[in-house]
Amino acid sequence: MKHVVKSVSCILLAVSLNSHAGLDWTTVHSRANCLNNESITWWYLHPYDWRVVSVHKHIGTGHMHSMDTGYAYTWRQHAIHWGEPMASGKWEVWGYHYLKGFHDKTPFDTTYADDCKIIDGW
Amino acid sequence: MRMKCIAALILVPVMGFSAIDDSKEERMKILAELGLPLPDSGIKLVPRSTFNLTEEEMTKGLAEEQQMKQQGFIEEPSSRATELMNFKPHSAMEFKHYKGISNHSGTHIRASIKDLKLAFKFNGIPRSLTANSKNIAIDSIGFVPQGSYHEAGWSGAVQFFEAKGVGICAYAIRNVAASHTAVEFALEDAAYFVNNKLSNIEVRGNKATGFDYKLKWYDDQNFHELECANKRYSPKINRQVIDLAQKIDLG
Repeated sequence: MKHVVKSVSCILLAVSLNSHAGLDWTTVHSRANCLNNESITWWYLHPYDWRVVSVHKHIGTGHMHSMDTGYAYTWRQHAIHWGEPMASGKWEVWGYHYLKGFHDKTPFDTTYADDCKIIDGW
Repeated sequence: MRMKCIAALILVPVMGFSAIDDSKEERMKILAELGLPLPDSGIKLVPRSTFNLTEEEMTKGLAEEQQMKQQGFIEEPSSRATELMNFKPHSAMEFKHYKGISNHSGTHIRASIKDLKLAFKFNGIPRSLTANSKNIAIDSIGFVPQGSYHEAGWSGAVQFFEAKGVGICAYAIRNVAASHTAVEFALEDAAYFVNNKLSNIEVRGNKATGFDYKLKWYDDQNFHELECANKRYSPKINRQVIDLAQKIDLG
């Protein structure tokens, strides 16, 4: 059993080297003005009933629109607008990360970004 | 001219705040139209029917509730119990892997709460807690962030530890002000066994995987979760986990 655990830990850590993945609990993120505008909920290999609503506001025109993933049982829930900043200038992004269970429904956390900073856990 | 400058100085920030507020109002409207609970909307009791659960989810949930009432746990394999019971060797590898890395926004494990930049006050749980007149030694394993990272720090934290006689545990705290979290809790399940705060406990597992004792409780400042894993199920461990939660809650 110990060998199995050690092997799984090794695999997870190897994955984290490549993806900067958060391994031990849920983290949430938004990014703006990269190739995409996006909001993501993440806990590697720990699926829950997640939903992400990502609201994008164009800096300049003030135009706003949203993307909604709906609820899904997954360990990586993401609302991504592919290529949006490439086509149309600068944006602000707000991420609303929801979690649902049999006992409760919760806006788990809120994220905001107006740049493309990447952090571990992505 | 001077008056115009003064007027401009007053108007610019007012217009700035007005623009931010307009955007927030519109964003909240989007969430409300989707039927979602709003951030910062507090702790609410609502009928479970408002969750729009599928028939399959309802059937499964009610069957699990029945098992909790009858035998104190939901009988199913719990990979989480196995994972928690083996967290010590996993953490040793993670410490080695991230040795020397100290970026605040990193999600890696830290040995001390001082190394985790948080947007709220959390000092970790005390080294020993007294429950049922017995001293429970707390052997801290490490700290990881949860939630979102902002300039002020993370919106939540998790402490992994061994509670002698109880098991390997994780205490997760999410700050309401930093995360803007809120909850709609099923009216049918409302209980208040952690210092009269809205609380819920579920135990999942079997003899092969071990058991995961998972307890949640809520207050206006923070939302809390305590998980403890043990090879076996017993009502005594169940009580100990609740006692632990009560003591952690009191700080």
